[in-house]
Amino acid sequence: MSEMKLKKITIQNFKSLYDVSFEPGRVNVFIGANGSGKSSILEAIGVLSAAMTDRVNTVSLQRKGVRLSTSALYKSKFLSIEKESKTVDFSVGWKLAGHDYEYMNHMTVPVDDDSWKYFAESVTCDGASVYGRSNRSSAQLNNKIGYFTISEALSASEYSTAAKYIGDYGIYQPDTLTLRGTVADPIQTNPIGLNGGRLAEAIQDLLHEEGEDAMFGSMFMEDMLELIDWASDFKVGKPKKTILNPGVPTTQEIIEFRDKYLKDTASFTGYDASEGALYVLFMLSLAMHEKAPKMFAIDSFDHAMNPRLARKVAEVFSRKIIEENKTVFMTTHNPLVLDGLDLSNDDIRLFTTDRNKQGHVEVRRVQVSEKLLKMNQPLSRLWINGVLGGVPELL
Amino acid sequence: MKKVIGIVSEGPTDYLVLKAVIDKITGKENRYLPLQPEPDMLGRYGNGWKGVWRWCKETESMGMLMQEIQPSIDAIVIQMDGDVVRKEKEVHCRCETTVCDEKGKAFPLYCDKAAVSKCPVELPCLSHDEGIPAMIDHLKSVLETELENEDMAHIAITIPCDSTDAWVVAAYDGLDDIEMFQDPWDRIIAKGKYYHGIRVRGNKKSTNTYQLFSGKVAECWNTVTEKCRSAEILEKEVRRILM
Repeated sequence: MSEMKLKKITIQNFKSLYDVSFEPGRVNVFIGANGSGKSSILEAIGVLSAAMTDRVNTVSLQRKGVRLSTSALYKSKFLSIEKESKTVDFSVGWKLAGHDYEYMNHMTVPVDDDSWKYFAESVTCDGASVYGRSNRSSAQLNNKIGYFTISEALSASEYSTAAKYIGDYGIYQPDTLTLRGTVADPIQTNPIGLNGGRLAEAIQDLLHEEGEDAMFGSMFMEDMLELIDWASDFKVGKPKKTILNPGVPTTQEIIEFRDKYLKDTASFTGYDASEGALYVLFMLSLAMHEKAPKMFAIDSFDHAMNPRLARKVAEVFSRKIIEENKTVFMTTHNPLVLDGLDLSNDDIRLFTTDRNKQGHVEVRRVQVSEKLLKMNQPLSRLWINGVLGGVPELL
Repeated sequence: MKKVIGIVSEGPTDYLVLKAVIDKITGKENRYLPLQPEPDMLGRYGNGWKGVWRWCKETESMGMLMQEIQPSIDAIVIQMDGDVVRKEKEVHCRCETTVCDEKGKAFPLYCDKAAVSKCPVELPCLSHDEGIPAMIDHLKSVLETELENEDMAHIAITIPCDSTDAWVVAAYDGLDDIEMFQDPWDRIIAKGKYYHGIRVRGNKKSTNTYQLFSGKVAECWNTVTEKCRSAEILEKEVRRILM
């Protein structure tokens, strides 16, 4: 079966996303001013994922890293809207094994408990209806549960493949203390928590040997160490007094680094390592770990990374995402991340988010010609110069 | 599909006025890209009139910038206030009456003499006629010199006289000959604590205040174009490049 590929996402009436639609690639980078709606897009995809493959309530949203709002604030509340829509609407289209599929749903936000209700949902294959229900359907169905994964009409394997691909979606926001292992991840998922919990275990899964070569996932260890240029090696082991102060809280497994400027006996753990190294390991583990979601988001991709490191990691990370047939949605405020993106590859797409006069978020894909990039006009410069959009207007 | 318009302006308050006015002239909401002031990572252009002039000088091929990115930029509007003509010596560096051994050798803003206040230009410069049209023509030609290799079909230059503040006064007060009035900000708008009920904070041109002013300028645009030759020219230019 050929690999699943998303084709289009539409979001209506959700927070500041009054009417947004875009065609994603494998690597989707969103840039925009603070408050321009980047994180709302990641969250909307989280709601869509939960709605399609499970249900939408506090627990399912938290599990996906969606910020919980009060019920009223999930719906668009713009001054310009005279008559509020009853529902929040989502749709996602994808291609799988030569066929085009689309899932659509219309939901009402919670009123008396924390569950969103399904007003209507439908599935099409190559434009033909495969499944559909609405609150006008004669059969009384549970309107708090999505039927994509339980309807008999959708029992074929292509639907379970799609459900697995979209359903595992989560918004990752790594945080330094969790990556260091000193605090527990509030949303621990397998293999890595949304804040970076159990990173050591995920790394352990990726470390192996191929012939005489040490590997980290599909990367040669020496290529990996180019990204963590102060380290001569890293591995995963049990915490020991010799490498970690006994007063420091720790996890069962820890990452152990060797610094190329220090004696071999002077190993240390993720607790003492530069946080940049932990973020690099986190990103690439997500990209390469077979149990990590096929579709996920990273809010603030560049966090804690030197701009040049962020550029290089963006380049390697994008390559791995494409090799693994995954889909990632990420936000960044670091211009050099853009220089790590090969926009001539249609799988890598750059989007700007801006607010229009009414405050509605507008999403646009930005494409830049090779000719311009070759003329000493890197994407970072074009972004900062304001030519791409996605910048605060008045600062 | 919204038109995409790049704005090269002296400051954020000018940007706000231009946005509101261009939407008014075109009769629809456009998308704006603030290209200047000082968006560059190195901050090399600076803001104000010097920033605008440097941007025109240093930007390599605006045509390419406009065409090689999708969504492409449909037009660029460049703004410099008319008061520069009466206040700044550098814009007269290349004028007929200027006698200087550095004339024509360096870009005026990079001239060593100007940097050490030894610029021999005397103001008012006698090379031009008096009056608003001459003021506008001169500054326009100063900027056009830097754009000589550009296709101007989608590039407009606007020279609000004495500044965009004059358009605000025209909109609120409907004064005749407001363009001849020097420093309308200090002498009219910021003279008291309130201007037409809107709080004005001394020398500080706040963008919040200008959001309100720009709405009024757009609302009263017909009056503004009647009172201000520079506004009338902008309207023609916007129609030329966008409609």
